[in-house]
Amino acid sequence: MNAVTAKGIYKIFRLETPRSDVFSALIKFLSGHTPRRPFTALENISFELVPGKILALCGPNGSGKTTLLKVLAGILRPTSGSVSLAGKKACLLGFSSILQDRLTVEDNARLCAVFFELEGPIRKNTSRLLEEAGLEEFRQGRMGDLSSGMRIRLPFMAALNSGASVFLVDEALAVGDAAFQQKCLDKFRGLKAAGAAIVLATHNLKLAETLADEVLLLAAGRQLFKGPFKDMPQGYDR
Amino acid sequence: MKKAGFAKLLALARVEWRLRQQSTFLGFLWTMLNPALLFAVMYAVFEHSFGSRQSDYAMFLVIGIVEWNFFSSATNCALTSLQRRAPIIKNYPVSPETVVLASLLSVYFSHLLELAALGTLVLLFGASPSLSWLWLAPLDILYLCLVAGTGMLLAWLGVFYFDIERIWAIALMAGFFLTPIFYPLDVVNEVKRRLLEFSPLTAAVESLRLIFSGAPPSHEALLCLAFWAVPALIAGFTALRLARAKIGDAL
Repeated sequence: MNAVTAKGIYKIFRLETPRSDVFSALIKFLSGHTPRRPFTALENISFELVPGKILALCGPNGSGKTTLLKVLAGILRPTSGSVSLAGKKACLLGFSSILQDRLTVEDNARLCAVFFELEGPIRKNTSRLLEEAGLEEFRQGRMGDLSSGMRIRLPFMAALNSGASVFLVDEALAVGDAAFQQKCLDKFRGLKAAGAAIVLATHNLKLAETLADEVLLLAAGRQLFKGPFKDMPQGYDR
Repeated sequence: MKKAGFAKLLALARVEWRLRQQSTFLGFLWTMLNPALLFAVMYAVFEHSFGSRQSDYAMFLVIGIVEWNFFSSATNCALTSLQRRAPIIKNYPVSPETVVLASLLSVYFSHLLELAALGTLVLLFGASPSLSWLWLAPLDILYLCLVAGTGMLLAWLGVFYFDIERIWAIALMAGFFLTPIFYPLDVVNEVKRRLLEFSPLTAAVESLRLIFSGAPPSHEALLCLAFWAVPALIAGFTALRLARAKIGDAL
């Protein structure tokens, strides 16, 4: 059984033209010009991923990697096509958007524990998260006072402890120091060995080569290639 | 709403509440100070005009302010909630309803504290608790439904039409004067009074006054409140549910 199945996904946004005053809006209305234009962010994307495998989404900025992850996560609804995920999912997209700088580290750990749906009592999960993220001594400190590398430990650890079987990760290793990056790699390998399916968007081709079983190459929303890294067409990477 | 969704709602409400309290120097005290300061100003201005027509004008005024304050603060907070929490909506699977309701709940916590303070005030003024106070629960639930429905509709519109924020500010100002907060209903003529009585805000304010005076609220007022609250709640939920994909794209 597939952990992730995506069939013929299209995502078309209706981009708003710059807002104008009421008179120009009226003129536009009377002349029949629409103030929006369509933008195809994803075009006919299909793939399958079985448990225990890692798929790396590669491609330049604006190629649709994050949009595809959001569609898989259910945050964005595809314009057409279908997505099915088997089991619980954990989304690590925009790591720090859940974090509240003005609140304490403990408050943020609590929020992460709830948002990643950790099993068990919230208080216990909060303490466990703080401990695993190595942030216990900052428990009562302000989140905004921590470095960006320290901040992302909370959502990352919450995702890893969520008991999910499908992980959707956007640029996990773009932040954090070398030690954190190595820790992430080890964790991903551990999750994979435990049977989790991971979809990982990255610009880091070395990471895709060493970690992923397959690469899905995107360009301008189109699927250019899907297969092992070694078979990826020349040009994009080398 | 599933258990996980409910937990997210409470967690977000807690965050909103804490952020609201920690963003100002006086923090939690503003919950009490805001209506207290408004009361002091309005009492000084209007006591001379309405004090002779309305017995116990101070209590009359403070109840009106507390009830209005909840509607005004909660709907304002809800209106901008989706934009304020856009980073979460864009990166985590959380419904727009959850985000809007969380912002409303955070204001509702303050409202409950205000009601508790109001009850204490009533007791200090020499009244004794009566069975009519039990009507507070159904009244507040209906009022919360009205506020939630209005808040969700405003949040939905606010994503697509930025002008709503300004329009709502004007509507609230009009609503403040069209609700008997600082004046008794009998100062307006019969026709206008009937119109004002059809407002759910009038029903909520007048009912709360009756409850704290030791009498049950009128059935007409509760029906009027339900008449507006239930459709508003259904419309709010439906609007956010149907526009979920569009809201995600727009944000």
